[in-house]
Amino acid sequence: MADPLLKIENLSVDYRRHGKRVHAVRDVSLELNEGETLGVVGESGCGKSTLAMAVLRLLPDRDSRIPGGKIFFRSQDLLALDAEPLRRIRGGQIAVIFQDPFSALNPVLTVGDQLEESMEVHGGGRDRAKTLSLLERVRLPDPERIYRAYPHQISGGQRQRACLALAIANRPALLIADEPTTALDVTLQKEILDLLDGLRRDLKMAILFITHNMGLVSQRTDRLAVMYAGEIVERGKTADVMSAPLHPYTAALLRSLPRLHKSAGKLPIIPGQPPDLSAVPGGCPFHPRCPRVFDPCAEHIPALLPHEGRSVSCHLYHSPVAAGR
Amino acid sequence: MPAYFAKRLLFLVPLLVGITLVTFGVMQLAPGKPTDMVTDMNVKASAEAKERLIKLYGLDKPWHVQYWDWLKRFARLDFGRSFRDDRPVLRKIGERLPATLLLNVSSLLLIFLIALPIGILSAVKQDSLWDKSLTVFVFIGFSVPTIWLALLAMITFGLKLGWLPISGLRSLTYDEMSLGAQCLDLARHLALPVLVSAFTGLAGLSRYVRNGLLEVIRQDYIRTARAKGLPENRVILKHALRNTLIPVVTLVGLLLPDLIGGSFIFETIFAYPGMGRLGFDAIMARDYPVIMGVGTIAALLTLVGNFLADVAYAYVDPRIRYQGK
Repeated sequence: MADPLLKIENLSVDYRRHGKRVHAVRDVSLELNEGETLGVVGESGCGKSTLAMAVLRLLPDRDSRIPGGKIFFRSQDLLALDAEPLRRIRGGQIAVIFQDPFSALNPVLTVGDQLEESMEVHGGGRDRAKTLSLLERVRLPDPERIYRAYPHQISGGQRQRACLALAIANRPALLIADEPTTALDVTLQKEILDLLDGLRRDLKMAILFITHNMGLVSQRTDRLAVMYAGEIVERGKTADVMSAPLHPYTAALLRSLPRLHKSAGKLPIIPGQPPDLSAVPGGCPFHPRCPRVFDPCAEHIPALLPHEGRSVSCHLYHSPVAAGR
Repeated sequence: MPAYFAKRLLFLVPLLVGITLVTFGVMQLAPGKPTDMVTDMNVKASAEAKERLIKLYGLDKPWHVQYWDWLKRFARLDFGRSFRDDRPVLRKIGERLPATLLLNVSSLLLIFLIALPIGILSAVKQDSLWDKSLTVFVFIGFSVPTIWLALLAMITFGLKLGWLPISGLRSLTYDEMSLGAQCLDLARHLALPVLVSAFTGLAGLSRYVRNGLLEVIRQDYIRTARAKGLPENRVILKHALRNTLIPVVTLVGLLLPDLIGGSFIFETIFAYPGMGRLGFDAIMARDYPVIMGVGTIAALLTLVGNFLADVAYAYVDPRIRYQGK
């Protein structure tokens, strides 16, 4: 098989917050092939968005640091790129769609201008007809009006479609979708996700789909990576992970999903809070909240190791002695 | 929107009348009378002549009657004549206003020309040596007393080096010069006052731009602009600066009183024939019509200027421009 489209190797990201070092992403490795969709799932603050932003180096320079790891895109190390080649990849071969459509567009520039600008800086020039067809492609009604409109003049759903148009403007090979529907109504969520699916098939894009909602990724991703406290705790084919989660955290996430035909009273929750990333508990970071905690969990850090065709980091499957840690 | 501005414009009328009332009252409260200069200080003047003068100027009437008379004349745009030289107040102001505007508009332009790049550079290179040195530079200008700096500049460039004239606006031989030489003569006279006043005024705008830009750079739409592959200078100069400069329009509105009124101290040091000195001399001589004229014209232009700044603000910010449409 050819090299993967995106290959993240042992990536770590630190933040500096109030003078404290926060380990937002710790030793994460991921691969994503051409045309494939990978879901990265976890609670708020587990480092999934940080991971996504690190790929395009969109983290704030002043407060963040990448102490280790490599990010290869088509065998090119993104972390080692100079400003100009990096700029050409941003919005060109790799595009992003963000969570909040209300703040993602510049309030003082028209939608049309912001779209055309993106094509212009990637050598496409300013082409009104092309921009309008792009707006049509994301099924925006009345593209002429949207083209001339300022962001505040269109609805949230329309703005997210405009952001999607911006993302696909230069036919990227990889789209990073960072919680693209979290800020929208439930009815709009499905529309946007269906649109995203359609575009992915048409453009043969790979998608890195970041979300806290396992329900969203179950039907729409090929593989899943579950993150907890800055680490990947389970990784495998979506169908496998969804039907038989290995890690207790994955199982807990799945149990807390509402089911359509099984409304049996209260929805189970995961007790406790995700850990403060500046003071992660020793041993397995999940052990204080884990329903299946046993002796080694507080003592030894589990490693992400293969098990039944996927990877999981849990002492239930690999004894700490065997893992050598 | 037009209805709103019409209402704002209407409210200016009572405001202006209020300002004139206060000015008139304060002027009357000050000790001394307009006739003192020609009577008490002139041994030849008889008591009878003094009485005649007081009657002529209507100074024997109660002050509210005097104010009402003034207001009636003002309604017909008649500002009366100066007690000192019997010339129409409007003409005296007409001679001085352009000089003040020339000085203040030039220094404002210079401030913008210098403070904008300083603010941008400080923000982009936050906390660097550049940022710190520029901050020290603008705060020196802000902190040193203008009078002291003006005198120092006059001694250095005017007397020691002999490069520039130190007072007035024109040379004695101005009328005999060619057009080009006249312009050069004006520029040479303006150089010192403009440079001194620009240097002392840099801090406000440059700090405003720096802090505003730092705030805007953190916004999501700036991340979007970077994510779509714009070169960094375009991110700053187009996407960030435009949002930063919108509030600056209001800042200019607040500077208008200085622009029109002129500075008493500044114009006196440089023997500059502007509004500030006209007002100062009129106050010293208790020249009531001129005091009222200078005060009223300055107030009127300031109010109108502030109003225009509001209109401009609405125009440059599309979020306000399209409200209610």
